[in-house]
Parts: sequence; C-alpha cells; structure tokens
Amino acid sequence: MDHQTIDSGNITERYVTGRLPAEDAASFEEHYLICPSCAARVEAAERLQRGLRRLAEEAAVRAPGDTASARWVRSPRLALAAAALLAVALVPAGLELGQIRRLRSDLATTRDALARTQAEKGPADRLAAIQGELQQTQRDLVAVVEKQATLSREVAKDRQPQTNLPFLPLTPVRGGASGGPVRSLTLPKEPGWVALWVEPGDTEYPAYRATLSKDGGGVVFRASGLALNDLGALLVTVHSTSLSPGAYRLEVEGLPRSGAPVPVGRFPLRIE
Amino acid sequence: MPEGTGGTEDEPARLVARIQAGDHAAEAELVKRFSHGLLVMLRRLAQNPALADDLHQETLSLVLEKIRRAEVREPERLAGFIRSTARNLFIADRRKEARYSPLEDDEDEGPRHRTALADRGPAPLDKVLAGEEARQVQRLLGELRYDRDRQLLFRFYLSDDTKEEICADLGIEPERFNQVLFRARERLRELWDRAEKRQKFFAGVNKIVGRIGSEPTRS
Repeated sequence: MDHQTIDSGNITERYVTGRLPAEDAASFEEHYLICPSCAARVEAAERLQRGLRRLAEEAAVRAPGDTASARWVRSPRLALAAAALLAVALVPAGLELGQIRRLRSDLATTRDALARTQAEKGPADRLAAIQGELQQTQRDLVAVVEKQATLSREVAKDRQPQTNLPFLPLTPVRGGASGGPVRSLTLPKEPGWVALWVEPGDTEYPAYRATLSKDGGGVVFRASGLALNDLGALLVTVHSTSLSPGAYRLEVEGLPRSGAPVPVGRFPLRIE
Repeated sequence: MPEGTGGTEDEPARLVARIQAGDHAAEAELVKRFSHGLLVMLRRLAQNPALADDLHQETLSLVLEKIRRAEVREPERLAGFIRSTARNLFIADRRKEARYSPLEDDEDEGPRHRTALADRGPAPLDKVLAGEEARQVQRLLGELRYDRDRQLLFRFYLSDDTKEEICADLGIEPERFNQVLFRARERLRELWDRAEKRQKFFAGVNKIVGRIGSEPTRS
C-alpha cells in the first residue's frame, strides 16, 4: 500500500471509521506498523472521532425540550446536524474562557520563571529562549482575547430584536414551467437574517422538506421536518452570508407518513 | 519501505537475520521501528489503553523470542508477523477474560476478579486527555468556515452513511469531501502537536524554576 493510494482513497479515515474491508484494513495495518507518518495520521483521525463523539454527546445533553429530543431519536442525521451546530454555537464562550485561563496561568508561570532566571543571572541562551516563549504566549493570549471579544459581539448582536428583516413571499412555479414572475430580494448591507415566506399550496403533508440551490451552483441548504403555520405557509430564514447575488430556486417536497418525498412546488427567486 | 522510515535502515529480512545472529542492536532497532505503530494498532483493537500497553510489551517480547528461535517463516513479511502476533495475543486475552467472567458471580472469587478488570479501565490521565481532545476538536470546528463541512465531519465519523449519501445530502463534490477530511485531520494534528510542545515547554520551565529555586538552600 502506498501513500498515493492511502491519500486518494481516504484509507486512514475509512479504517478508523470501520468502513475499510477487512483485507484492506489488514494491509493498511501492516503498512502503518512501520510507517510513523501513517501511524500519526491514524492517531489524529481517532482523536477527531473521539472528540466529535464527545461533542455530539454533550450537544445531545444540552438540547432543550422533549419535542426536540424525540425528533433527535427519530432522525440520527438531524441529531448529527444539530450536534454540528450546537458544538460550535453553544460552547465557544466557555471554551475561550478556559483557554484564556490556561494561557494566563501559563503566562504567570513563565513570568515567574523569567524573574527567577534573571535573579540568578542564568545563561543568556536560556534567558533568550524563555523570553521568546513568553512573547509567543503573550501573542497567543492577545489572539484568544480578541477572538473571544469578537464572539461576544456576535452573540450580543444576535440576541438583539431583529428589525427590518428582509422578507420575500414566494409563489410556486408548477409543471416545470420556466416563465412567470420571479421574486427578487436585495441583500442587506449588514450581515443578517433573510426570511422566505413559502406557500406550497398542497397542505396535506405532515411535514415538508425545502432545498435552496443556486442556479449553476450547489445546494445552499436543505431543511427537513418543516411544518405549515396557521396561514398554510412555511417560514424559512437564511443568513445573508450564505447567499450571493444570482438566480436561486427553492424546491419544496411534501413528506408523507410513509413513502418517498413528493415535489409540491418550485420557487424561483433572485438575489441582488 | 514506507516514506519517512529512513532509507538506511535494514530491510525486515536483514533485521531478522541480525537478531538471529545475536545482534542486540538489531533487537533495539526492531523495537524502535515497530513500537509506535504497534501501540496505535493495539489501542484501537483493545479500546483500553492499559490493556493495549500490556499487550504491546507482550507482543514485542514474544516476537523477539520467536525470531531468536527462528520461528519466523517469512522474514520479509515481518510487519505481517508482528500484526498477527499482536492480534492473537489480544484474542487470547479476551478468551481468558471470558473464561473468568462467570466467576464474578461467585461471592468468594467475584470481588478479586472485578478488581483485576477494573484496574484495566481508563486511567484519570486518559480521561483528562479525552477532555483535551474534545476541546481541540471544538476549536477545529470553530475554525471551519462552512457549516456543511462540520456536518460532513459529524456524519462521516459518527454515522454509517456512505460518502455518496453524505455528498448528495450536503450538496458537495467528492473532491471537496476528501479535502475537508484531510484538512481537518491535519489541522487537528497541528493543534495537538502545538499543545504538546507547550506542555513540554512549561514542564521544562517548572524544572528550571525548581532547580534554581532549590540551589540556595543546598548551598
């Protein structure tokens, strides 16, 4: 087994996640027994897997409300998607504070060491090395403090009431017709939320799935488990940073209690 | 020979021949060359660091013993021999454990065996390291620009979904998929190495501080 095969075939990741056939796994084990760089890659991939598992567990514990928990149990994919969001959204402030505390403690230790070394008039090279590390630690601390301040500002902004929310009502285009009016929306100057009001027409489904795609580009998002509100519409909010000027289409599918999703509407829109 | 192992080292068959000839330096070379990879494999196999450490020692001594007794049939496939020896020892250990487990119900024997098994559980240090790993991974996730990249990592590492399913659901190209996995793994290695270096540095500083601090008292 060579490194090109290992890289192009995601062998390390497939091995760690148990996706590699037994024969290939044996061959890869024989390889990394004698290959330090591949052994280190296996260790890194395992750390990533363990860390993600732990974060997913923590996120599951943090998920509030019985309804949400029940939905997680029914849909492992939703659980993982939510874990991905919660892992980043809920804990960073605590994480950053922990880092700041640790760096401050490190800094205090280094300052202490520096003071003692200077007092003892130790060798110049040792002093220079410690001073270099002290400067690096100070730079790290400044970077973490700045990042924490940015995060705090973002969190505070998101907690403010959302006013002047750009709002776009959408009507469906049926039967694959490409004509008809296309609604457009101008992106706000400051990053923020954009609301799409969608009236699918067919209201017999217990849930809906919406997929927003850019023409000639990829899928911007796909959301399942959407429910109609009292006015028979779906309200979807998208952050403006995930949009760019161009033509988009929102496809809505009904999710019956059993069977495959059924297309119920296609909503072209334009972002300017 | 895999990259990064150095071109001047002996080929496996030559290393085996040197050990059989009584060359102690060759034995040390074998241990140095295979030790880390073997430990990584055993930790994965056993899912228990303490047990993996025990099996690691046992495997290396059994391999050396078998080489000295000329019981290695294909010396050029030394890695395969070490791998199968390690797996056999692990299987033997599991069988032994399975034989012991019914005794746990016995009031006289139970506590002794339960203690023996408990001794092989995760050590406090391993629990601390697990917490550190989660923090590093969280930092890594925070650095990712796109939420779908985070979802990709969660789904690939924690679900049984295939690469094709994940790509289709998240609307990403297979090349992008490979890129995200590769970059995430390498970035985590970088974060981990940096944390280890910092830990070593501060351990070194503490030693210096301790030495300097204690000198006046000794004199």
